Amino acid sequence: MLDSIEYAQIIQKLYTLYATDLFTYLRLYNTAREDAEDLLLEVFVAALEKKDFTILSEQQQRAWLFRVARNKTIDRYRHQARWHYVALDQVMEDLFEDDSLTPEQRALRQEEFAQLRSTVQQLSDQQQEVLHLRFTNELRCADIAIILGLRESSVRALLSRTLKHLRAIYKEGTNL
Amino acid sequence: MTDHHEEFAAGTIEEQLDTLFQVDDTGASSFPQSDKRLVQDLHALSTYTPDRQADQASIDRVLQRLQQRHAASAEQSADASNMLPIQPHIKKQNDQKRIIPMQRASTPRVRRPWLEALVAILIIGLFIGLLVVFLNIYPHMTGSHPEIIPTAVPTHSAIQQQRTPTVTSPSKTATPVSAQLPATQTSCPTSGTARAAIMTPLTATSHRGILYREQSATATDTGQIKRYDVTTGITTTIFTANPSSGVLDIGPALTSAEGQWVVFMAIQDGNYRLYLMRSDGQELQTLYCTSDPSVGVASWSPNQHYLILQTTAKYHVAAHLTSIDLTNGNVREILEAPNAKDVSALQVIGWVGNTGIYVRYAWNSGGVTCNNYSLALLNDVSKDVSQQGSNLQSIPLTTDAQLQVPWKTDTHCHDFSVSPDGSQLLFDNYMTPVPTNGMQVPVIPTGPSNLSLRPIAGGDEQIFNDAPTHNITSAGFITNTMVWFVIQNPAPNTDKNGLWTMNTDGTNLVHIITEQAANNVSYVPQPFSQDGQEFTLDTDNKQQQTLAFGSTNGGTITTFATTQSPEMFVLIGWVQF
Repeated sequence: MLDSIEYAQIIQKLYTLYATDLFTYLRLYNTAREDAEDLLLEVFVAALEKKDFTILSEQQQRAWLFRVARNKTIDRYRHQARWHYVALDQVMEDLFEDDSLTPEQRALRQEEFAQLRSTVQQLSDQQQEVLHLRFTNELRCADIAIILGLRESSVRALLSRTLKHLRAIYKEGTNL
Repeated sequence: MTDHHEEFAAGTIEEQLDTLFQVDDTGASSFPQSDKRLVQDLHALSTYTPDRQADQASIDRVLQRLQQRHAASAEQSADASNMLPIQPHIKKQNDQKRIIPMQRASTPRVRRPWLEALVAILIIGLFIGLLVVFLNIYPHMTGSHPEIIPTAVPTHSAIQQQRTPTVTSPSKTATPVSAQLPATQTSCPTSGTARAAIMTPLTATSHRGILYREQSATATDTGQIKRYDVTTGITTTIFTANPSSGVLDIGPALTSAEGQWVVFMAIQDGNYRLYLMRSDGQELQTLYCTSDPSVGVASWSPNQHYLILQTTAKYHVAAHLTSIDLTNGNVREILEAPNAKDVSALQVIGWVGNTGIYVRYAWNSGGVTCNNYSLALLNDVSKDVSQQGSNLQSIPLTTDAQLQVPWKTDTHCHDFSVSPDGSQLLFDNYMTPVPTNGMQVPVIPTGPSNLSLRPIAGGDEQIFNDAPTHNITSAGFITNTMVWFVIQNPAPNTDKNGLWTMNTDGTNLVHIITEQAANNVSYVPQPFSQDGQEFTLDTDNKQQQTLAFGSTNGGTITTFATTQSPEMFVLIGWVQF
């Protein structure tokens, strides 16, 4: 049986590994920072209450934590479970400041990004969720399948179809 | 420069993304290729935060709260050193409730009885008001479907249109004139209630068809329910999910016992709606709405009076079953798992008459490879969960058909199914490798395995198929006297692999699908037609998904739908129309 000190160490380790990614994920759902903080706390409390958590592999732990984060978010926001996006202007200012880009390239990147954001928002909830789980923390399809309760092949197919759909935005402009 | 990247293929999507995530070579352009820009932007979109410092402060705050909580718990449990420092006291309390307000973990909620009473009065008042408004409006409503327009445009299958030798020629279609049908409603009934079903039967049914769901991700079409007519080879779309009408993804679906009806879940306006539709695409109606995404359709009583919904376990919420009486719209929770932690799902696997159900408890594995289930009989689906104690009866699953185990590294597993009349238990006894935690690839055993039969009420068990050198991985009933099973031996002993059928008296053994065809075959819960004469097949080799059907007597297997995008199709079941 683990003693208190060992558990404190486990908390620290788990938190170091996963807290930032989980918080980013939770913030996508939750407009209020305080709510995301509450949910993050609940996720880690749940992990520590799970007696066999420490015997899971690192990959399984990560998948489990994201699954709990997702379930808790859905539980809390059943009627408004839509992704939250920050203001576009704010993103643009920070992302495309690269001096190595020509003005044309910068304009194209901004246009592509704006169109991507708009298109993603029109995708189904499940498509958006798969995208976020894949790109927030580079979760593998197998992990996403566990989190969403789908078959891995279904996640692969969904991701593939979604990326094909989004790919059209980026077809042109490579010769700038 | 042109874009040389290949399409994102489902089978290799993981590897493609890994490549695109890799850091550019030295001197690489700051303006990468299109696919890379897409991946970079998706990553930015998902991870972008306007204030990283504030986020870090949040994360630090949560860590502090977590440590405080841990320290407090450790103090409380100082006298009980064997207990975990952080005790699940919140969880225990929450397990007893169906709907759990998410508690602030560090701050206990203060109860205010007077406030709760006030809120309850307001809610009741609001409900009465809505009811009055609804009753005033209802008589003036038409039966049209403002949100959904079922499509019924027949299209010839572009795949194959072979006839099976067993089918009969069509006489006529039996679709009644829609004007003669009673009006149905597709709006959501009041929250927590269901709507009585309007089930006008078809006047005559001379065609048999296979329903399947086709998923799509285009802007104008996110999924369809299609019907393949096995008599004529014509495929007809009978329902389309159209985002412009608010309908997104079509979910789990189930056909009725006599094959004239289908129920399915679909997401509409943020709700998960339970739709009922006749096999000819008419009579679309909404029976029930919920905001819970974990609700699915589980089973339909043989007389089609009861529909059972299953809700899988969520954190703090135990798996449970809900029945809807389709004759009057009564909805009630009928069975709940002991807790949310140990049982992941309650599965309805058979009926006793029209009111009793056999329920399979799927227990969380805890590292055990197989046999993670138990069986119970819920005698009356019209009784509330509060009567569960007297309504539920455990069914022992001990099997005498023990296998002679030649390998110490393998585990003796047995799975079971219930005969359509609810009187017999079929056991599939087989070996499975012990998990190696990724240390080495498990070796698939080449047997032994067997199939045995036992009266469900108890009694002698009889082995009717003993296979000492074969690996029977799954089995089930087709009729009360006929079963199917799948053999999956490792190479090179693959000549017996595939789908088989046989009678329970040991006669009429037929090898329906051989090894080559059985690769990557998935067998859906309803692969067989109501009369047990035909089956459906779903094959997926990552490059192509194919739907087919064939006769349980053997013969030609007919492909009726093919796609290059895996997981596009989901078989639903057989219908009559």
